[in-house]
Amino acid sequence: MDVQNKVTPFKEAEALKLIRDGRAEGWEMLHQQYYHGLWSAVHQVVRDDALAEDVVQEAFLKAYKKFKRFKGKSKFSTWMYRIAMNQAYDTIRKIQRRQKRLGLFPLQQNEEDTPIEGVDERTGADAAHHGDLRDALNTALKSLNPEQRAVVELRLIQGFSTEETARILRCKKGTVLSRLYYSCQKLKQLLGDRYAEL
Amino acid sequence: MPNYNEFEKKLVETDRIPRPDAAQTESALLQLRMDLKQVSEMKKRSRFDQTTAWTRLQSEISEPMSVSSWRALSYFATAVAAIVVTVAFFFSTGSQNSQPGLPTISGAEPGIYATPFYSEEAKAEVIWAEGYRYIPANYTY
Repeated sequence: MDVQNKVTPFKEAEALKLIRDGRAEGWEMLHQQYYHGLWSAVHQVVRDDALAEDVVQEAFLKAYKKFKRFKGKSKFSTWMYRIAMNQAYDTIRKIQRRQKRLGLFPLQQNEEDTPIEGVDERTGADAAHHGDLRDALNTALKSLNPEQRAVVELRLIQGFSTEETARILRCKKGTVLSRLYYSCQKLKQLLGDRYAEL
Repeated sequence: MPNYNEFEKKLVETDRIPRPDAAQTESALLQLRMDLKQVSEMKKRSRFDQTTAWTRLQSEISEPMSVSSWRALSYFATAVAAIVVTVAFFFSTGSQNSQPGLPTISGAEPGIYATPFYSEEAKAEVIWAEGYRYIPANYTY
């Protein structure tokens, strides 16, 4: 599991101890460790580089302010990711509400069945065929909805277990598996032969 | 209905293989995970700088008092000042409206005193002074 392997339990414990002693170095260690992963996970939901940075920043500030509430019952990574993902969903909800008030199109539509503008299924398959894997995968990921992208990121890319993913996203394990299953099917459909056996 | 138990089993199997070097693998799920990770790594490398983000965060958490704290403190101070002014105002007007005590009467002779009371008949506050010498009606200065 990638996330857990990056920080040994000893180092994480050390960082948490430093924080409990009121030393900022602890936060620096945790920030160094989790920033990239958090950014990627949040980016799957908000789909905007700068906004993802702001969301992660806010999430760290929240964690800093609420640290006394962290009792160590779950892993710090699970707690931190949960804060960041909540912050990400809150952010897109706020943006959607504002856009609705202003009569604009929503930022995140339900893209499960309707490919986003300018992207069709053939584009993804063709790109994969021509070896442009990055474009093909990015295109295919865009066709998933934010919830599906979040489980793909946490479970498949970052290597959280299904239970941990469920805890982070505050949903049932079955929901995670179902979202992931249909995401894989969708990716298979979009990316053609490469993942035919999925 | 998909068999999620089977799917979870496949997922766990691909968890156990940390980072296979071989690009070709028989498991499509593992292949997908590898490809997604590769894309994710490329995105991270091309995009951002954790150090800058940390500096930004550090400036916020190391401040002795954040902007919001100062704002909260200023609201509190304003509220306290408003209460003090209001209380002071009530005290000052209250002391003016309160019933006066015995008026000071100075006389050449001791034993002069006054009793204030409210006259329902006259609808007025009356100060009844006693102790003065009787002055006849025909007295002239």
